[in-house]
Amino acid sequence: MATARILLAEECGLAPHAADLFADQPDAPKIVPVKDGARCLTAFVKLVRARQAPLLVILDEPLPRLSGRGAALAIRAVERALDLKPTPLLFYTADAADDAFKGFLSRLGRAVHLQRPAGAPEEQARRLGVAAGRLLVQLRGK
Amino acid sequence: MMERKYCPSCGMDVDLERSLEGSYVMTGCAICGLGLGVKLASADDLRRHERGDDLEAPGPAAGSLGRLGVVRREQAIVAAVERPSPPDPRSASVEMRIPSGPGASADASLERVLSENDGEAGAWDESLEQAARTGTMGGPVHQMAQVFLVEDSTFLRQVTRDLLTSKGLAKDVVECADGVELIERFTRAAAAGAKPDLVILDVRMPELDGQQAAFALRSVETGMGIKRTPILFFSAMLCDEDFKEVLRIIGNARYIRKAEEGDVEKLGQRLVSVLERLVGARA
Repeated sequence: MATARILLAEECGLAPHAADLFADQPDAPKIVPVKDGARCLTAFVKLVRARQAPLLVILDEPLPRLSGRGAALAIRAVERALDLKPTPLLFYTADAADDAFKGFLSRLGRAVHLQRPAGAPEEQARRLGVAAGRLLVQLRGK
Repeated sequence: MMERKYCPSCGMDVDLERSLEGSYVMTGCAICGLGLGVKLASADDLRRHERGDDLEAPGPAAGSLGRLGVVRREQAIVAAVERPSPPDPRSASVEMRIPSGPGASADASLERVLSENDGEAGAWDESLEQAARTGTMGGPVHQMAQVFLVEDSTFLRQVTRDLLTSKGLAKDVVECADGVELIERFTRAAAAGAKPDLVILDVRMPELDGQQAAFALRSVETGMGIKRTPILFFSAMLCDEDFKEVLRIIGNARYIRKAEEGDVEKLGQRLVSVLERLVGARA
């Protein structure tokens, strides 16, 4: 069985601390760090073409080249084109979600937001691990 | 130079590319950027090993065991360059460094991702113009089979579509109202083994604007392993230095500025007249 993967698109230094975040999960999904939305989309397309769609995509906002929002919209477009089920998306951003962003998430579907706390990347990664872990448990329950 | 290798960070087979950065020859993963560098001097040794130059004149004491030793040393150095791994303190000839942070190396690596399908970043696909030059006079010199037209103004879209088909520039025009629709339609077409000859892209659009859509398009192309489609930006905004840099990174892209006048028919005609010059079609 192929290893489950989680795409992590961020440029604030979480990746080095995120490698083992899900080691205690049932199938120990592997974190694939990417530095911007364009690479995230490339990795997503490569994975779905290999029939290994990621378990979860974690996106920051903003990101270089293709923003987190842009990457999310493009991921949904690719999924519609290839008749794929929507991949869960988790926005982990420094800003709180305003009404406009909540509306955006609602339009995306299967997307949630978590505000990234101020502080060291280690702590930010730990918080992300806890939240994403809960989300994965919920997703597996469905 | 592209290779496919297993990346321990991504956990999948990805494209690796060797490139020159300062005094280092870098080998990096096209997805996560994980890679290593070899100093130019060491790279020269490596190339000699790869060519087998140092096997041509073994020393007087070098018999088959000596050759085996050289081959093993060569394999070890090649493996060290091609497989990202922690530095071996016993290896004096290979120096490694892992690119870190969102700095210049990450940007350069992204450029490599986006430019991997043709030689020079920003280069325009000359095939359209070459086809025009070599065509016959009197009829459509080069008719594009399919053009994707991405424009949020329904009227301008329809006018341009009609002009493109009536002037014989394009056989089929696929209309997209925004960047999201472009990505969806393009992915569907590419998955079916067909892709457009040209994408005409407005810049200011709702949801996914032209610039973001172009980056997304290049990402889909890279992910699907297909060649870059020429993109023609058609926008009212000025092509400033920032946008020129975007064009360079996106590659195989050109820009036409919409005329000042608000007359939609004139705007469509302007685009078509530029395209006529570009691909050489005659009405």
